[in-house]
Amino acid sequence: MNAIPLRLFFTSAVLFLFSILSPVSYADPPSDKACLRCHGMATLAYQDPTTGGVRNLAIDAKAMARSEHRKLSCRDCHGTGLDDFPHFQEAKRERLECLKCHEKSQAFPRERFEAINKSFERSIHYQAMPETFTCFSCHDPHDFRAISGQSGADLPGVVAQDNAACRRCHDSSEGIRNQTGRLFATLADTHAWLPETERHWGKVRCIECHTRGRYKQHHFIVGKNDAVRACEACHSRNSLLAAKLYRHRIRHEQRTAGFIHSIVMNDAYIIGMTRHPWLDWGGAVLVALTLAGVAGHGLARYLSARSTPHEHHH
Amino acid sequence: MNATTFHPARHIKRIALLLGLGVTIGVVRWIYPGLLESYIGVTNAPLTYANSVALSDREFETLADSLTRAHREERALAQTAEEDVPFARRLKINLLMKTGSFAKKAPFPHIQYFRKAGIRQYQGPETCLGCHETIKVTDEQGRIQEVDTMQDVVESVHFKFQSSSGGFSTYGFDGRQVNGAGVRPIPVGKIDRACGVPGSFTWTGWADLVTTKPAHANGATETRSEGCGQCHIGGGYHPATEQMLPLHNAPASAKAGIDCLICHSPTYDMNERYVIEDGNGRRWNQDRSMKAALTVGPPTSQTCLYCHQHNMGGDLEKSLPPGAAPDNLGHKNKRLLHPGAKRGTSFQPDHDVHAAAGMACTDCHKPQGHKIPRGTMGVDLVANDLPGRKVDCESCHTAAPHVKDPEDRALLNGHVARVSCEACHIKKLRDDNTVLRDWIHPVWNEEEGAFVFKDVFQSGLAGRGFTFLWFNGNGTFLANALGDNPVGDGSYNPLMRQLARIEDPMAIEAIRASAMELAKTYPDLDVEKYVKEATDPLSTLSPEMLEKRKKMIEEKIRPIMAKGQSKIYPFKVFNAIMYEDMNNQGPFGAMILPFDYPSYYEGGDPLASVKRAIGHPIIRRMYQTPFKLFMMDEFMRYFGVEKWQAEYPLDKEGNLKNVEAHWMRQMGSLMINHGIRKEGRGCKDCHAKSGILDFVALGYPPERAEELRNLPELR
Amino acid sequence: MNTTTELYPVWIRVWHWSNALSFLALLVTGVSLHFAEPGAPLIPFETARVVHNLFGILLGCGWLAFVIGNLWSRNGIHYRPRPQGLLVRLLIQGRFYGIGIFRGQPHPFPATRDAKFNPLQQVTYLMVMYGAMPLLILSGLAFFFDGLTPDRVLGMDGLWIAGVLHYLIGLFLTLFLIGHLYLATAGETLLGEFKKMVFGSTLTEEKS
Repeated sequence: MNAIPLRLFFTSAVLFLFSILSPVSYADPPSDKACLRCHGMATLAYQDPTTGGVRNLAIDAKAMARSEHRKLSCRDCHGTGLDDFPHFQEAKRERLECLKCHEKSQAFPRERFEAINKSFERSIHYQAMPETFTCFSCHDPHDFRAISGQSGADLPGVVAQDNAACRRCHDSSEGIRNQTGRLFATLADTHAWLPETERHWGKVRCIECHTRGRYKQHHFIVGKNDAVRACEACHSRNSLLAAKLYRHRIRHEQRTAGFIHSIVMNDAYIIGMTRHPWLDWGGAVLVALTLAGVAGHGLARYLSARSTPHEHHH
Repeated sequence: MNATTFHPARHIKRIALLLGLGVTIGVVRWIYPGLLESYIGVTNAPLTYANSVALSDREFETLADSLTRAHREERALAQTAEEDVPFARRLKINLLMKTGSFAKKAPFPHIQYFRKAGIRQYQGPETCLGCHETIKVTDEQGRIQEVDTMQDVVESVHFKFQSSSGGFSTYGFDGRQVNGAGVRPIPVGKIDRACGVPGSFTWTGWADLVTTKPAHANGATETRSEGCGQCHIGGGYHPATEQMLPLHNAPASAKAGIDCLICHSPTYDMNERYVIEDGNGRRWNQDRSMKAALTVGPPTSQTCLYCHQHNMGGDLEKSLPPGAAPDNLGHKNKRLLHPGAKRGTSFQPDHDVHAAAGMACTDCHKPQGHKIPRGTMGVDLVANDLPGRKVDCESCHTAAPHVKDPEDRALLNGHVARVSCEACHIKKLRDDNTVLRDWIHPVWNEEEGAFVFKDVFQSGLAGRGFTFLWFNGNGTFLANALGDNPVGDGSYNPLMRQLARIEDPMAIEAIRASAMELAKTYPDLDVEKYVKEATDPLSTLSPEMLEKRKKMIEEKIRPIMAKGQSKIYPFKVFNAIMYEDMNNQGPFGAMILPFDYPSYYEGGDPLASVKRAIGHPIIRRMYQTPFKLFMMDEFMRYFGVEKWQAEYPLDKEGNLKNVEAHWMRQMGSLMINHGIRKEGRGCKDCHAKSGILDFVALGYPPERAEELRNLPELR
Repeated sequence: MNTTTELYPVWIRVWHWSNALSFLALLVTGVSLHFAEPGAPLIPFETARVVHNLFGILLGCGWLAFVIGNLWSRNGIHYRPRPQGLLVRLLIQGRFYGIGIFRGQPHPFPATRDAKFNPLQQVTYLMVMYGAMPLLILSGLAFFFDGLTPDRVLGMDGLWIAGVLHYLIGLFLTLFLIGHLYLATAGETLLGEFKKMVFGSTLTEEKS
């Protein structure tokens, strides 16, 4: 374990869940129900005196039921020290790690975690806050859903889910202050150059531009100096979106329909990317034909004017 | 140019186009307003005020000196504190007080502005606009715009008190949002909303003079002022009626009558606020003195409370600061006080933690020019200038407001998802908070020397004066809070239960006692029937109406109750018995008929008073086709009645037709957000067998309700 | 008696050249946006977007001015082909371009006060100005005001429809532009029509 400095420590401090109201479900197993009596309160939170930020302790049972960890109960991860209320001190001491479970997992083997960790350690977040920034800073294990499992799902939902992880902190200068105690420029300010900002954020994920390279490196989050800024990177035939946001979808599509363009094209119109080869070629042919026709007619006029004795009146 | 290039046909087309445009503009601009004015029977005339007097330079300086004297004296005294010789100190004080720099540091910068500009008389908006023709307004996005000041005021709810556009959080009983998407908007707001608190419309009760015979006058009479105009900034002979009509704006004389100083002058003399009568009718006087004008500045809590005291602590609240409206009723024609508080939520330091912290109204209700936000939530039909602008606790206190005790702060914050701040931090309203008001059995008030309505039940206690309801920010057309229990079993139905019934035994006893007292004056009054109808107004509905009501609630109202995120809020409850036009009755009530104040207060004959009020031209118009088509049909659809039955309820002989007295079929619920206490309620106030929250009525499943009443942690 | 008419009044000429300029700019930037590729010899996406938007607005306003101008003045009548015998007239004009023009035959429908366009022009311009242009502008506006565009149309992204429509009409108008430019050389002289559009053209007709 020491060889892999994942620092995937679970502390209640990093759960910034701004989740919607969730009712206490009576169908939960007894232990979960007991936890959710308090942690099911959507606004269970307090202001941390050290940072002034709000620390959210709420669990959204509905989101949990949809998450990758839906089969787990609270006790599967959390220790028994939390049986009594209040357990404020015990919770602070608790340390949880992803690998405890994922060491032997078939679905998500250790090698994948190691690869992720490599790129994570190069990310701007880890570089800036090696002590405090963990997996849980972005991925809440209580509602985490992998994109690969959702290839049939609606993309806006995926985009919203993934962007929510970023916006949880970055949306307001307060969000960043909660995490770092420092004030940053707001997203709106740093992205003022990006045309149609809100539309972009609704249709693509922050990490399309803010990760280095293509898919494999998607935990290598980069700051504004290294982020993609060229419009053509996405707005082109060879769009990086095809390798990122649409990657799973395209693979799924190729399997089922065998034709990349059909679904991707119908799903969202992206200037420069959403091009149908038939339309492009058709257009080129039509333009060529017209030019040729015009040139032919012109030539004929020229020739006939030379051979015809009577000139046009001037 | 060749003469043949003239093409008559082409020119005729153009001339016709231009002519048509010109004629349309002319009609809309000049002919139509005059026609409308005469149709709705309003008078507009230039307004004059006796206290708008030109001062001589000498009088000006004397006034300026007196206004800043106290401040300069205080500073001079402090500065000369070291001087031991009394005579020398007095000389020094006199010297200092006269120096220019002392004068400059004194408050009221307008003294200097007026002095330089040579302004020696305050003539209303004209004087203000001389310098403030435009103002810079910062909108929500932080953009600064320069707007025409007069236009900004005239378009504000404080002037027009209605809105013909969207922004209402209220829904009709037909399920449509008031002036919402896909609905033809009609003017809605306080201007055309009869209500049981004042007992009249702004149209029919704008400015009245009432002759009273108070006991202390030994048989002599006193003239008193009454009417809605006392709290509205327009100074004319009627409310801003013109603005609610299509293609019509406030006339110049109405604009010139706007009372800038009642909001902007901390030395405004409320004793100048009384009804005056001139050749054109009755209207409200204003303080247009130079004293008030020289002290202008941004509104303060005091200036807001000149009017809003009425909605907050009420007119009878004691120990108000000097200058408060209820203590300064008029140099003559004193205003009548209104017993019975509308909300009973005082905004005085003893009662409200924010008032105690010295906060001003505008700290939370941050104005945008002359538009003042009232928040995104609302149960009633009061028009909202800035419907999108939040006014809430969270904006300052964050989503995790409880910070002190590490043991329970998170749990208390956990409650925020379901329970509003007000639910715990308003523990009690003022004792004179009115719950039931009877307008049809006026009683003689010795002290005032007038017949007044009878408040059958007043209480400031939880469960009596106010109740707890789920609230998602929306309300019905008759001010009933909408919302639903997010984890309920579907049984929550305040329109059939909490708001339609008074079940508290002590409340019922108090109502019975009031009824018995009324029976002394009105021997025909059947006390038990009276108590039944007051505490169970649904009992007066026919079985078919009751069925229709249940159906409409399920079909039209439930979907709106389910919207958004509901929390438990406290609501002051209110009902009144008034005369109703039974032709326009629906399952939730009928069109209320207004009272004419003078005949009500003087004669004590409510029926005669109703007859007089509905004789008012605009009520007659209400019962005619143009108004029916323009707004009344829509209005009644919201009301839960298919359409407006425009049958004038007064026949040729002057008898009322199909008019009956009823309690509204459910209590109204008014938001309470002031009178906030620092200490909130404790766990056991709610989580106990006899807690203030009726969890079953709030729609929790029985077993969950039992659990909530009996928490393991509290055992 | 003689009637003198200006066939190309100043406002038409101004409108025409602003249209021409807008269209060229839109064509170049439109191609740059559609075929964007890193390193491609096109206008950079960021620049192309701004220029395309600006000229799009200019073209839209120009179109509006054109419609109002046609309502206001009598220029509108040139865009209303007489349906009676239209087909025959079209054939005559077609035969001229196909045969007559090579034989030096005169133009079959010289410009008059009431019809400055030949039948083929009339029909084409009518389609372009009152058919293609409004659709082009509408589909452009759909991009401009994304909020007003329906999210899904026939199970597809609302913008997708607008995007493809915009592309197809743009293509059609490009073809029109080529033809238009060429036929402008087919007046009585090679550059005569261009000159008319710059300096105007006064027509004097005799009237009995």
